[in-house]
Amino acid sequence: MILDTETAEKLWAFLTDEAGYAVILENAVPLAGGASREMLLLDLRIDGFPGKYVLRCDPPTQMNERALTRAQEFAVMQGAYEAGIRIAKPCWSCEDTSVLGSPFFIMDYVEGMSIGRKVVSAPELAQARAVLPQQMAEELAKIHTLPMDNFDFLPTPRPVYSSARDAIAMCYEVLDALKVSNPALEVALRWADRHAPAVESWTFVHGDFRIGNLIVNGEGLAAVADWEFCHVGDPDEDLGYPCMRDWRFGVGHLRFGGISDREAFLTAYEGASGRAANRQSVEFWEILGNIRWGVICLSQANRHLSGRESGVELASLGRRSAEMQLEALRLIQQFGG
Amino acid sequence: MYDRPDVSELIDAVRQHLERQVIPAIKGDAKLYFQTLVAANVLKIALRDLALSGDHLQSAWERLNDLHGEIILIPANQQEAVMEMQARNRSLCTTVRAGEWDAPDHMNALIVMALANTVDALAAANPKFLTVIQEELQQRS
Repeated sequence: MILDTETAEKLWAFLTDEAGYAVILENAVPLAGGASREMLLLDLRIDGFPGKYVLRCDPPTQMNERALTRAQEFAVMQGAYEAGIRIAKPCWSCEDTSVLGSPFFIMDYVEGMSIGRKVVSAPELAQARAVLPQQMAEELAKIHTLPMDNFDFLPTPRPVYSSARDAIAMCYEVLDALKVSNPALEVALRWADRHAPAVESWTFVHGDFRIGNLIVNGEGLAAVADWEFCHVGDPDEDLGYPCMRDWRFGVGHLRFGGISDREAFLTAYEGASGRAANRQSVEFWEILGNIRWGVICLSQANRHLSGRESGVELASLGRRSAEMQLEALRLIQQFGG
Repeated sequence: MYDRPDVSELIDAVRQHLERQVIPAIKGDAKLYFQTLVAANVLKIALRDLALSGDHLQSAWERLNDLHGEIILIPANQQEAVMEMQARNRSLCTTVRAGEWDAPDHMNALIVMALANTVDALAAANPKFLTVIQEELQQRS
């Protein structure tokens, strides 16, 4: 048990209150997740029935100011769950920081693999990889029809800006705040600013839809996870993003997430959504995704460099930025000025 | 000037310590294990940086000269050279953002220069990334 007795008692009191049944907190262990994730695997017995749950209590990612709070993420997940999207069932949300020290929510535990490198390479997931592009396309089509008006807190592009230009402006702001003068990022951003799609139709956008943020089992996609970057924007963003080289986890020649070629996914998405995906726009978002991740790497490193948080992993991200810079510039050359 | 080990040898001693003594001993703690793998890799980056950054600064300086069609001599003092390079990059970035390089020829030359600098940066940060991309491009063509 990772929780101290006092914390465990507070959590138990919260659960008893919320569940409305007798709850026994049998075990709580940290769940291996991403580097920035704080998640606990809970063994609960509710009214005598045993079950596994996941508690997410990490503070919102500080990659940019656009991350949802845990309570907002919970609300979005409820909407997605009710819409029949493959997702861990969200159970309870707690904004009272006197319980665990930070807001948290609890969802059902979904068995499966989320580590990107394993999803793209594990022999036992070969069957899953064959069906994942189709399944991901189907879930994404559903995500894009989630009613935006139900979530009035969703970040929206600033007035007059397209979602692409909004993302570009965010990159400039980060570079300026960090006082970074990097010609590679600067030329890539200039290109993006001049090639941003002229027309966008806005929908609900997941914002972090990729291998590594999905729970995958032998049959394929078990649950879409990590909903904290949901926003209102161009749905093509979610089509280009999972193609980024970094999200291919070492299987670089398979452009869609290291598991298939891009067309297979885009065709499946068009079939499922009834919406044509503009290939140029998808490519643009893949390029902008690389630029943005390259910029965020620098800002993550700055969390360490500024002395706010000490962490060798944060520091190391600063030197990873060049990978995204190279990829963005290569794609820009291919795309043609 | 100082006694051996030199700075690279010092860093490498710590890298060896992490890889041979620490990492095998902490496999049970997934988070610490991962972070320490990262730490060992960071030391490898530092070693390559020490070996390459002098030459790379020189190349970046010359590329910038070529781009601008000018011949400015690089300061002999290393620290001064780094500062001057940063200043030149700052003014380049300002003009890029202001749209002064938008003409296709200028833009292409700028991209080629930035790519070359990025390749240099990766030779220090992650040479394997470069190899993988080169292999992939060869297979495709």
